[in-house]
Amino acid sequence: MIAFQFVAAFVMIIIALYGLMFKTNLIKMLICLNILGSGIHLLLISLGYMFPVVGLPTAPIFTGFEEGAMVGPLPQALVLTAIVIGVCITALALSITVQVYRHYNTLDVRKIRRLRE
Amino acid sequence: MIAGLLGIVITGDIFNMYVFLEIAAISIYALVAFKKDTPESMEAAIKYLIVGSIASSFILLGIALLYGEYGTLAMAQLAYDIQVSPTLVGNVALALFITGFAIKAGIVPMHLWVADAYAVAPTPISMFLSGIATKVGLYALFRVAFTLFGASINETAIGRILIIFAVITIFVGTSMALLQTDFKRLLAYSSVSQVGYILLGVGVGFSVMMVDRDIGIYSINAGIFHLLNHALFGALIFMIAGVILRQVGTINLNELGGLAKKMPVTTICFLIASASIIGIPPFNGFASKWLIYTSTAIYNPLLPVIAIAGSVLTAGAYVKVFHGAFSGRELDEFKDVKEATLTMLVPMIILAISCIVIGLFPVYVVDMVISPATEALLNQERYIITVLGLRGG
Amino acid sequence: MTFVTEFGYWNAFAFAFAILVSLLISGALGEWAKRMAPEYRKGREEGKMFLSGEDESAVRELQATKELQVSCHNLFWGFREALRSYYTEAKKEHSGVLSQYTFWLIVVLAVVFLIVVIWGGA
Repeated sequence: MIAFQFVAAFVMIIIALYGLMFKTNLIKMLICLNILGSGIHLLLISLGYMFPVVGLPTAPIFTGFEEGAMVGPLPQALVLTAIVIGVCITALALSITVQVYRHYNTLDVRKIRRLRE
Repeated sequence: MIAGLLGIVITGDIFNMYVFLEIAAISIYALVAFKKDTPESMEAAIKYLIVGSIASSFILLGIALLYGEYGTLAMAQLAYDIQVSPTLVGNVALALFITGFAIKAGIVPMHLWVADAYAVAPTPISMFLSGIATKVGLYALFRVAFTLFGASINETAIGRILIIFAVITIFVGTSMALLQTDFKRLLAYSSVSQVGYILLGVGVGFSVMMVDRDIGIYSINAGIFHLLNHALFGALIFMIAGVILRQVGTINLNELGGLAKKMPVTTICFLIASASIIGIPPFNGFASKWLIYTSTAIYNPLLPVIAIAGSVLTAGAYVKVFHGAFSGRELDEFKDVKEATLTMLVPMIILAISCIVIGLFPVYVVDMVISPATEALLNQERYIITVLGLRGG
Repeated sequence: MTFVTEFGYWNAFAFAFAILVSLLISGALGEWAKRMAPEYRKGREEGKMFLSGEDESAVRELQATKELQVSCHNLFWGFREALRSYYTEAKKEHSGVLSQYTFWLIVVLAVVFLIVVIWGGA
């Protein structure tokens, strides 16, 4: 049986891709970008949980514990890093969006098209 | 930014690769958005940011899938595991990696951000983007494809994907370059097509690797040599665009004209750079493009035909630039234009001389720089043994 | 010095010699052509001015003022005209709308996905 976290993660990823393709508001696209990131983080963090398929997680510095007694520490470190990167990207994107709005007076990507051909 | 880019090249861990890629990417987004008073700059920055973040997300998703399947992130261990037990999930991750890094490298039809970002970024940033950033994307693509997945996948299929991408990239890049009237935008499309040539060399190498290892290495040599050369003349030509923008005030080719008499050194550097890009002997572009033509001719005679047609269109685009900006009568509105200052001219001349030197003596460069790089890229077994042996695995 | 591959070799000095010979030959050909047809420009059709990308009558007017600058949009007019249908499509794709960028990313991801999963081995 597939755990529901995986289903949820892929549903989030697909929602985000749909939004990135068909939404035209810049802010909504940025939200979709964050949803995409969150979906991937959810996938990654749930891999650290105990799944018999993947193999039970181990913590390198802890020895002598019962198998399956703890979650894997590696994905948590990864997700923490990825979240920080995501926050940086979002902050930069929002500040650029503010500037875009100042110049174009709109957030509709169909109208922000001075660069073309 | 430089730290991030160097980190991508030397890291032995795919998550670190992602982190370094993001470090480099964030600084480049900010640098593209440097001129915050111009609407074009802001527009290009937000477009590049969204596209680049999607690419990073694809790469992170690929990493997550690989971790879930094999439970490790070290490249050597992963390569070993994938070799021992290839799975469907691994292939899905490979597809995500290919797409993600192809976006970073600006391959058609994901090249749309390239034209925007190169054209409006400040000139040094355009040079970095063209000469280094997209090259790192390509390098990461090759490294993941060769080192991680080298033995387990159907190399012909992956090679075909790369070749199809390369052919579309060459054609669309050059034909769109012919249409442009903005100097830097034209250069951006031309850069796109040069990435196509690199990809063509490596893709053909990938395809024939199983059949004939010597020709495979030869062809990957060609691709990587072209990568080095494009970093040189791409930087040179963007520098020239920057000099014209600074000295004249516009880079619209319809308005420029007759700069050859005002800026003779710049004109000569432009001629050298454009001859290199087009692939005219004895400049360095000829050496690497010749290697690409001959190696692809073994695989399929149609490919060099497309590549040479692309070169001809590139020649057309640069003739257009030369005609538009440098030749012709001296225009009245540019009477006060002066030659660039010495600090601008010196780097241009150094790059131009290196173009000529590499073009005259390509054999040393290929033997001393390119072949070891290709060996390191291809020698998957030794990489695994070395790294895992040291760690006692 | 000599760069040998499976197809031939590359040597800077051999190249210099070759280009010298070809320059001599082309110069001689040009001289010969000039001597053979000295009067080809005198008032016939090929002597008239033609500027691609402009109206012919407009060119006549411009020619009268003697202030004609051939700018870069006059170049490759024939090529653009011949490939007009391709360029119409290409311009439509390069519309500058951000949704179109992301659309292509996801289409390419799907295509690569299918190819790798179906023919990728493993």
